[in-house]
Amino acid sequence: MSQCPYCEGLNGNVKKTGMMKIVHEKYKSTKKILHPAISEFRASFQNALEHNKELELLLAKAQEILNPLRILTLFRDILDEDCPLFGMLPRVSRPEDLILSRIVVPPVCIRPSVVSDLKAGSNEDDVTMKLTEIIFLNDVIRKHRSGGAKIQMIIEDWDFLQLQCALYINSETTGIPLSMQPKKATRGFVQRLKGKQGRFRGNLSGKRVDFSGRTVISPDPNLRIDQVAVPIHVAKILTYPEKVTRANIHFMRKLVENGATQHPGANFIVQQNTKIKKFLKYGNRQLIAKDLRIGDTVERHMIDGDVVLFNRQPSLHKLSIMCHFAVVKPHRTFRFNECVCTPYNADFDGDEMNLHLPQTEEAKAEALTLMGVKSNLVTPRNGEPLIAAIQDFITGAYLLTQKDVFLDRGHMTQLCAAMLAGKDGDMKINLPPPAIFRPVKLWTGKQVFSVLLKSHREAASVKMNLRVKGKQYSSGEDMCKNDSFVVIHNSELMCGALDKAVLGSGSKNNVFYVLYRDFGEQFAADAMWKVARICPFFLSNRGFSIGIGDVTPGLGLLKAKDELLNCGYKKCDEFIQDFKESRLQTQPGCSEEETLEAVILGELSVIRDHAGKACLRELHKSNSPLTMAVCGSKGSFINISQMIACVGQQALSGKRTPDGFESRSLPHFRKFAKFPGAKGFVKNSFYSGLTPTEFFFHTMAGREGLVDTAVKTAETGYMQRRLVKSLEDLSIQYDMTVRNSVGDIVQFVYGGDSLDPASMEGKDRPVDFDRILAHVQSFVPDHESCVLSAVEIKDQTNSILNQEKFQACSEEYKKGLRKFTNKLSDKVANLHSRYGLSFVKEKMNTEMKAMRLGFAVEWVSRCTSLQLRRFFDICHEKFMKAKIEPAVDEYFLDVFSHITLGVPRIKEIINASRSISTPIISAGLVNESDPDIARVIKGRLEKTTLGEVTEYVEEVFAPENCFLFIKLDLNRIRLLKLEVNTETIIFSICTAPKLKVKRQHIHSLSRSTICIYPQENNKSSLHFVMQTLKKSLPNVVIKGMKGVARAIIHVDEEKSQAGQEKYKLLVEGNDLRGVIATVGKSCEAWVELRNRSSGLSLEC
Amino acid sequence: MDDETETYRFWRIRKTVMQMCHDRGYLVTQDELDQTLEQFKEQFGERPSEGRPNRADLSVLVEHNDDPSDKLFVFFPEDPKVGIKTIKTYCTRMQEESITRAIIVVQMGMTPSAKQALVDMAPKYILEHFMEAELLINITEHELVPEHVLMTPEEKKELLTRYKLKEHQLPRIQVGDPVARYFGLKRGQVVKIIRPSETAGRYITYRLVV
Repeated sequence: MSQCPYCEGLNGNVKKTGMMKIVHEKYKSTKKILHPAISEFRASFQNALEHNKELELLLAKAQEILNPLRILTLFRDILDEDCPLFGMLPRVSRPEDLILSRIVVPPVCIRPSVVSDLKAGSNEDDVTMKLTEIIFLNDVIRKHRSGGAKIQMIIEDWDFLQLQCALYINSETTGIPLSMQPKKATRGFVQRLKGKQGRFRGNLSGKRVDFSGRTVISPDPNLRIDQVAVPIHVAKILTYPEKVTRANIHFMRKLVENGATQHPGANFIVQQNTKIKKFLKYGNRQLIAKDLRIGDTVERHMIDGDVVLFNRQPSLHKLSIMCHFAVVKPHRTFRFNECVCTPYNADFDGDEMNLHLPQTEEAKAEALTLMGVKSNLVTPRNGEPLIAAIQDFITGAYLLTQKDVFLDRGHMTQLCAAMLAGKDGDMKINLPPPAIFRPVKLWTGKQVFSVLLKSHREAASVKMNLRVKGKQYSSGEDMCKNDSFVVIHNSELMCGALDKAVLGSGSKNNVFYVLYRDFGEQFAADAMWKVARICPFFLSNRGFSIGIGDVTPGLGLLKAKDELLNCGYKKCDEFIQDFKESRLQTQPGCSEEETLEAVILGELSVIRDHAGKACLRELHKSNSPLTMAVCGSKGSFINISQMIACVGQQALSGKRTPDGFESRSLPHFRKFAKFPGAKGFVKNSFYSGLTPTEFFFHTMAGREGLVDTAVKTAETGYMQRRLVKSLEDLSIQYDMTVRNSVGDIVQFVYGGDSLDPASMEGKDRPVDFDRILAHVQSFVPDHESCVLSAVEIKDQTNSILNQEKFQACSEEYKKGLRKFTNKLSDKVANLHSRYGLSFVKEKMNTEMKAMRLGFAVEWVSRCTSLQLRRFFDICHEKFMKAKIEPAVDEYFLDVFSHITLGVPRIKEIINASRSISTPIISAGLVNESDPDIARVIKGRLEKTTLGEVTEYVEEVFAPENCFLFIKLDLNRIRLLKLEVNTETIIFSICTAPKLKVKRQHIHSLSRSTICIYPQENNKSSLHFVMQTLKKSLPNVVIKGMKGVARAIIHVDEEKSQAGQEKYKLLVEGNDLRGVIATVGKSCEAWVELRNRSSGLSLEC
Repeated sequence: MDDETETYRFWRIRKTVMQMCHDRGYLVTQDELDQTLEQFKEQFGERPSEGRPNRADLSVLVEHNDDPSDKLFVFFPEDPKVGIKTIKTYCTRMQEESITRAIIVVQMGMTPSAKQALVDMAPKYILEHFMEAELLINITEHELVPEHVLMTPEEKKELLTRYKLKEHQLPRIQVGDPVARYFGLKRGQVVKIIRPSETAGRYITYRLVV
């Protein structure tokens, strides 16, 4: 309670009570001696008190109601010199301006009245209605005042008016009493502005636009990857204002003649001088066409080759809107090449997409260079290709390039002809010599692919080289028994069946990726298009389908499966039996039940894996699902074995099906049943059919999956929005710093190395040295030159790297290059010395070189001077290309990749939650190889309660006194390496909160026994004290840190070597300081948590 | 807590304090930095329960490398929760010896009024406080803590002109940040942070203390 320094009035607490009521507790006092103002106020009720005794109780609670009028006068009384304390400048505004004494009435365009069709008169806007109501209420109050109505009535009217005014501004005002609740929901000004549909997000940041369309999408492999098929309907509505020039006037005349209804036509023309817009649906179009002048504008229909933007929501990354060339086609869907599904994340189960037509030449040019499909083959996140062959293309290519595919001349030429389309329609293809000449000329499928890579107008310049392991790679490089090592030598497919690793997205060893990096986007896009034409063609001729026969298990499989199931079930039963007899050995950090779950889960997953393997062993290689799984086009081995052999365990949030009924999952089972079938293990396959309970478990898991995706999309969507909103204005400035729109620095050098992640060919570096060297070696055979010796390689490297142009490359990059060439020279040195080429070490004169040309060894890992120089040229060029350009908007895409990786944890990071759900500190040890020391530290960290180390606690009633007898389990203490004894335990008991046991009442009889003599107090009896003590004693913490529930000794696999295991501790809790500060003595050596590798790693 | 653990803790804390003084640019001999536990016991004794060493014995007074008049006190108060009274005694002592900077190493914590007192004295006498548990380990030696270097006003000015920056456009570090406290950074100073980078070798950034 304070006093006003001006008027000495009292100033109490001001509270908000109920709806829009503010109360000032001016006369409230807890003090014995009342303030004179209060006693004076109370005295003024003397007269009333005499007549009404009940008033006395209420008097102490007297408050002052602060109605708007009162507040207004209070605010007016605030002195000008006090205003700055409120953050106000008196000449600009004063506190009383915060209270509206008048209502602003917006003009009618804000609140339009709509003439009603149904009834007479008009429908008025919500705002108008509210205003009428407010005016009416004002009238009522005025009438009541002049008519001398009861003061209560007027107050009531006033409150209602206040409420209506509040609703006028915010119709979702809370805390309105039920009686005054508005009958009909209205839209206040706040509602007009707020939210996604509000003025800001709905009308100012985002608008509805012209020249756009939306319809269902469908696939068309015959389209180039940068094309989109637009229905004629759409093409006739979306127009482009084309200026008439000397070059196009004839075409424009034709369009004008066709008018608005016939396809390549025009909807309007705008004459240059009159600026009059003429509609071309009616009127004499022949005449208008004749009058067409150069400089007029024709709003023509969309035609083939127009540049359009294509988009699919949710537009999460920049590849969600890309620029295509339009192709006007009949029918009603947008169509595009399936290769482009990945960036849009589109499928054809009814997805719709949007299309926009840019309206100026500048817009078209900009869209094409920045957003063109061909310019976005790789994702800016890490430079991996995103647009690549998918599904059927991969299956087709895989089947085509099998070792046993031979084509006769007819088939071969037909396949090759399928490549010819579009501008390449009249291109000549050189058919390679057949692989088999007699008895008939036969070509292999691999040759088709070579033709595909080579058939180009500038074929000579495209010589791509690639050596990569396929999905099924076993060993021996090109001798791989699965034919899964792909070698492409100067655009000739030498060996290997093409699969997802070579054709699909997400790998930097992709054929199209190599073409893109070494020869440019056009070649990559063309190759992809050819694959998209050939593969479905081959596949539909060959035939590829799936039937019941593909998923029927053989007798052998059934037998193997039965054996597996019997064996596994028996093991599970044993575990359950062990558990019941509590013989089960618990796993570290787990209770018995958790251990049981873990071992059973492990056993069951083994069953499914083995069943899957058995099933794969049995399947013929012509099996369609198997083919798809092998080449990676669709489905996995698990899917196949689920269809044929065994569906396996159904998991709900990572555990076996929980109990939905009393102590059981379903009423079909006995209580406490833990056998596999009762907890969601499905032993049947989809082929053999699920039992009712199995089916139910399966639906439960399926539902969880659905709910998870729904919840995660919503959560990640909002997270993404917040992240993007905070990072959208970052860009790279000309001083190479990353700054936001107000110039605050975010990074001094983009990413620390100022390299564009989209241009990283190798792992986190701009060039994959191995690949480039191999490419140079095949591309530039350089037969005449002499091979470089190991020393020469090193020398040349140094001299090249010291050249001026390499000054622009970072030291880190040059270090990488040096390391690579050193490795190369070592390899060469090894090879040469092994085969007795003595001159490997020294430099050679021309004579010696000439002498050496004949050695066969030199053709192995051969590197000539020309090749080396070429290699460095390419490396330099690629590095310079990878340097990020200033003023490029930096876009954050990482959210996208993390969607599956623990949304909850990312949410915590973004929300900056103080208490995180699963904090884990990983703490290294100074002496990391001694498990005993690790155990000691664990004992020091982990919270240990008295109950965990006592054998029993007994009540002892002796004639003279009674006490609690605690028997410690010394054996256990020793095993856990706990550093406790009776003294420390007694100390812990004494200091434990709420126990209130004094030191003199505790005695220790021996090393393992403690007696506590409970003391009677005035609150409870001796017996009662004893009982509470007995109950709470086991919970007394005797060792460890309060916040650490668990500490686990973890074998550090990275550091462990054979026979020498290294340990570290994983501590649950977030008291890093406490953990770091944990020290102590054990085994005559000080043990401490080493800080070198300890860190607060927070995991989900 | 037994004597042995206590002595060990004292040794660790004093060692960290010495390193901290050294890193702040105060004159600390190499012997003091490298002091082993045995040497510590020899110098101070090993029976903390009998007052050998007393916490008061551990106090340190160091001079700055460049400016011998700039001295720093390190106090080890005996009472577990330091109150305003202790602060007052330290303050008078500092006044007597005309020393403006001091570090108080507290065992448990400080009363709110004592903390307020530190803030009130701030511009004239700068007293910082650390908990003993914080100083058991030198956080700057942790592998996840990059190297921090305090920049001189000239260096700071050069940095700002080089990037054409206003002070507030720099990235920030809080005064209460553990590393900032370790170096005793003041508002407005700039630290250079050199951190290893997987891709670029090392990445240098600058942060303004706020």
